[in-house]
Amino acid sequence: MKKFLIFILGLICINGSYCNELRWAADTDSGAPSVFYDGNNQLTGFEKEIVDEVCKQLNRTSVFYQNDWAWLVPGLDHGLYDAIVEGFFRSEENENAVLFSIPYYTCPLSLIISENDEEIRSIEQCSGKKVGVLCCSRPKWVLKKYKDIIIFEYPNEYGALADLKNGRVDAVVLDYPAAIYSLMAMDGLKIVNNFDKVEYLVAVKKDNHSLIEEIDKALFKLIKNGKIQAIVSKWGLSNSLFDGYVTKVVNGNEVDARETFKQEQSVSKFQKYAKLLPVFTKAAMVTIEVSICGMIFAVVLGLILVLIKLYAPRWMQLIVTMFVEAIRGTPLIIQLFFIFYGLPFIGITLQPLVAGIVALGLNYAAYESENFRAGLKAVPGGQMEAARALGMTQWQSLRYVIIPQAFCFVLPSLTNDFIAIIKESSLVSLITIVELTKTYTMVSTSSFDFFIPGIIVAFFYLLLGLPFVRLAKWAERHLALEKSAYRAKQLPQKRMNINGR
Amino acid sequence: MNEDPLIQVKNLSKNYCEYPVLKNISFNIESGDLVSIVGASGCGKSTLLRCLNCLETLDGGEISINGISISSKLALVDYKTFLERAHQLRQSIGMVFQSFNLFPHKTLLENIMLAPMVVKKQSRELSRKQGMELLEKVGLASFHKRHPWSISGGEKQRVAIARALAMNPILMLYDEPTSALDPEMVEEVLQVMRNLDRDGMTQVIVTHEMKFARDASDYIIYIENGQIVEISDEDEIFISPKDERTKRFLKRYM
Repeated sequence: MKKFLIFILGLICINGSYCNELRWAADTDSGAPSVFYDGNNQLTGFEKEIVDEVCKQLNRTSVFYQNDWAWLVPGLDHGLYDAIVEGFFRSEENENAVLFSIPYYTCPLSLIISENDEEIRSIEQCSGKKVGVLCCSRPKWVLKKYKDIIIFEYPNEYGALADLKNGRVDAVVLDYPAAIYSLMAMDGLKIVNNFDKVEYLVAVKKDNHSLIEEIDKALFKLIKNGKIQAIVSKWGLSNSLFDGYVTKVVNGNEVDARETFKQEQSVSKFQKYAKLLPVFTKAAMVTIEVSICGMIFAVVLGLILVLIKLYAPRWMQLIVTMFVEAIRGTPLIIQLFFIFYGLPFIGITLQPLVAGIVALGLNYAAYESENFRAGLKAVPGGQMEAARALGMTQWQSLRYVIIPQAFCFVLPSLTNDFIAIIKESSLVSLITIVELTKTYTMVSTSSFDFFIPGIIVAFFYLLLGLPFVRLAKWAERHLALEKSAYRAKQLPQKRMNINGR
Repeated sequence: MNEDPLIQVKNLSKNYCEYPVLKNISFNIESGDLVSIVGASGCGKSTLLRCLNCLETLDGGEISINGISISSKLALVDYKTFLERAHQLRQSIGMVFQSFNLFPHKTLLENIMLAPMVVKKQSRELSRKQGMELLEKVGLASFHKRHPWSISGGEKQRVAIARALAMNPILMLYDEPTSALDPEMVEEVLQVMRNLDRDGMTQVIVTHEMKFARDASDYIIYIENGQIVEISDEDEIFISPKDERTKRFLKRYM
């Protein structure tokens, strides 16, 4: 990847066209109407058209870069491109991380509910209810003020609205453009109220004052000569807030247009990071909850699977084999999406946490069943014979003699898998669960600081894994079946005695 | 008391992959007897013992122990009843293996307590009391908290005998119980078996300990190539073997 970036940077430098280009980035995944690829695979969208107009004003060629939402700002800092045009809004966290232009568009937030919901009419009535928002969006930031609202975060509009339809959330709040465009594609939902305000700004690198001035000037001109209004109304995005803003710009001067953000008294960096610790601790609890529940699920199911595979009738063995192969042969992320977004189509709607645990559990159960198979095979055959000879049934022999011993054999690989599941649990962040990884991207994308939070989150993951490694080592020693392990248990004590002499 | 012999074996045969291991074996054993089965390695004597305990399926013939009878026919006609009877049979038969097969994840006492608690649903207290008595009987009461890996082979085999006795069997089967042991340890295991014989336990032993077979057995069954060559009183077989093959075998072992 790095080489690839250097290659691109190199190309640009060789071309020497650097000064005549406006290299800008957006995430096309956010879909219509902002910046997206149309049916003919052509880049389009109202923001794209605005950028084109800006480029005309600046006499530069527009060069588009696709980047994932979360990594837009790091790309900017890296010098990959000069500007971001992706509905960025200003908040106290990101104020100092980048330079913002004047707004090129403003709109309200839209409260979306199910068509037959008679109860919710405004955001105030959502207290105690579950409300879906996009991660790192203005609505999420606004909803934080309403303490009673339970916020669910989604990576895209579709996920949020699908969950509204199948009842996992009671309402969804989106930016006005996203709301009207996604409702065109989905029936059974309606916008019940527009509230608050979001301003879309162009972001450039912190020290790039000359570029932001140029962009500001261009935007002014474009608002004054009505080009932006034309684009906005062409895309059907006009609204009273935008009209008010335009009037203000047309009548007033440049300084008025840029609303200054009232910043709270500045806090030191250290204080800022200290504030993150409780947030990460809470997230770590979620990670550990998902991991432990997932692992318990996996161990129990894995054991059932292997017992079926080894001792049940042939047709059941066949089903289990197919299940294990299907799970092992497909990516976990697909399984996760299928369980969370796919199953509601056949009427099974799981809560995010449950869906995450089930997905991880099913996935790991397939691996654990093979693990246990090796463990059961490692128990000498004489053990089963001895148990049967004592009059135990096959199940009793397994339950009291074979499985406990097999467990001792598989403990090391079980520990391995547990550490792996802690890390893989980061995938559940994709189905609205706020765990460590999610918290990291949330904190980082809102403050545009990826360094220190990254170190903190890595530290937390490490911290979660270590106690289990110790626990497993302890268990290994205490469940010892052989003399060698017993000696290992005794050794430290003997050493101490020698030192004592 | 039952007039019939405790064990009746009629025309028993057993194949491993079409290769006959036991051919047409018939014998009876009376209650309270101590019987040794001797023969060269691979002659089928261990298989015979495992058949008695239904650890192997039968390919022909019939076994009746303490009134419960199973046959190769039953296995074909009604497999479920066959399995039920086999399970019933095993509960009244104790078996001791060459490789001890103690449960390594449990202490010695727990090894003995497990089967009565699981199979007979006996209470923990009663099983513990009984377990301690049995450990006492084999001279290992002070070891009850230790694990199998911390004791010698002879001690392991004595615990294995105690474990089998915990199910109150009417018959004990031993599959080469002393073959994996030092000469010194052999004696302590044989002593336990002699004591059991004195108490009236029926015991069948597959062994290479000719001296023990001669001294302790009521009679000896000599097997060669899956067939019974000679069944005779212990003195008889050693002093004047009837069969030429028995003579050759004893010459090598004595």
